[in-house]
Amino acid sequence: MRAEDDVSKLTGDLYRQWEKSMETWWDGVLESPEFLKGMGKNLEAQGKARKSYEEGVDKTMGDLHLPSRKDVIRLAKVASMLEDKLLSVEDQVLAHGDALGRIEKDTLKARIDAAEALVAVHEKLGAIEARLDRVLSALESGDAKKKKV
Amino acid sequence: MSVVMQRNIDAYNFLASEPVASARIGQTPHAIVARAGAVTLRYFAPEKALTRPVVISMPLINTWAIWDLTPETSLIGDLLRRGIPVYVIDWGRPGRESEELPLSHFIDTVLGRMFDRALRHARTVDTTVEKLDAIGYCVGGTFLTVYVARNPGVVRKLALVAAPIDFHASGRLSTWAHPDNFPVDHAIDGLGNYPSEMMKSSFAWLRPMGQARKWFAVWERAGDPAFRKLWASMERWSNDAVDFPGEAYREYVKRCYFDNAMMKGGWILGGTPVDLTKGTCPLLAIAAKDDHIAAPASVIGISKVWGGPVETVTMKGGHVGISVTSALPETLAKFFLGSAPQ
Repeated sequence: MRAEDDVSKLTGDLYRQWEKSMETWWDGVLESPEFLKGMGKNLEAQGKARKSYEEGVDKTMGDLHLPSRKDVIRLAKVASMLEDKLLSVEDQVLAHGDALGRIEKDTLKARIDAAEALVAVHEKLGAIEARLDRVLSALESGDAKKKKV
Repeated sequence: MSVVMQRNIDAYNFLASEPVASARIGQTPHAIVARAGAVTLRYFAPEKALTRPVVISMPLINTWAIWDLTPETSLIGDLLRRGIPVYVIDWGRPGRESEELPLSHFIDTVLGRMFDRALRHARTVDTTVEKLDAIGYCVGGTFLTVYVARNPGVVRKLALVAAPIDFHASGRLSTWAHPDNFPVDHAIDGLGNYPSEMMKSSFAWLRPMGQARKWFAVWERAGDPAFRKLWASMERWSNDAVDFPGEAYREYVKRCYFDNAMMKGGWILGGTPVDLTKGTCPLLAIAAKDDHIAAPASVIGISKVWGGPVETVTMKGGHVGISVTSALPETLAKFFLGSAPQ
């Protein structure tokens, strides 16, 4: 078992050493001007090749009076734009809903305030009436005393 | 039987069982609460919510399932267990119909709409919610940063995970994505959307020995069931990449990689300048130590330009590996459930 462990450990150590040396090598390659230039050229070539291939296919499909991939994409774009417009309408409806909710809340608050104010006015009027009653009765009792005198 | 022989047999049996095809990812139950074109808003409800919901903006170039890989390594599941309701913005699979959509469509229109729908939905659960928390991963975080800076009233706290901001500090990737080396105009003019396969192979070539390391790990650890499950799930996710909408990619590469405009300014997106100093909410930037796609310096760069308070954390792991660590959900939960005013 001891020897087996050693072999396993040795394999791991060897791998890690190999990985380290390869990493150093790759670092040199992947940042070299030649590699970077090649990478850019390769991507540019892929882009150009794909473009000319798609143009060729589109032309062939057009010559056959068949809808091309470009036509299908155009249709999908229109559908996508329409969906976006619908979502904008949904945004507006939700925003109007919010505004209506706020108005409803404000209206309810205003109603409660008005009812409370009305109660307060009634209470004040009641108090004034009571005072007036007291003044009136005081005046009346004053008149009665005068008459007696 | 020798250890070496046993490993050979385990690795062979594992790979022969076609583990990637049978791997299941993104299995946490959830509901789709809004749709806009290819984009969907997914809602994951916790058993008991302890804080306001968090909206996650995933990268456009992969599926959202990396944060819900397996039940044992699900960042979303972990956040739910900590009482954080989660909304995930899943960008879907844009087809050729999306190739002419500008970047502002994705940042202003789509993110704006998804945050609006998430907030509306969150208010059906808790009427007192006024702002949401947000997390952005990778390029999803880059876009989210721009959106939050332009809409300071929407987000309470923002966390960025491996999201590049200072693109000229992206190491080898910034050398490759230089105007002299990367003919982005030719690529987009010819290819339409930028193909996921090209993106995937570029990332693999950034660190070529990563591929060798991956297979060596299979040989070394194929006897471990937990490793087998995670490896197969990760492969399944990584093989399922998504094309980047063409015009949006052109603008992203030119403004971010060529001009480094997130740091230097001068980027007019959809008619409005991008100005990260206008971002005011507290921000947590999490970098992965061995990230070869969003190098720690490019992530931490946000602290030089963000208008609000910034906290930075560098964790163990790589760009993808950080997603399956237990430290990530723990740090995020601490940030969102912390002592800041609710």
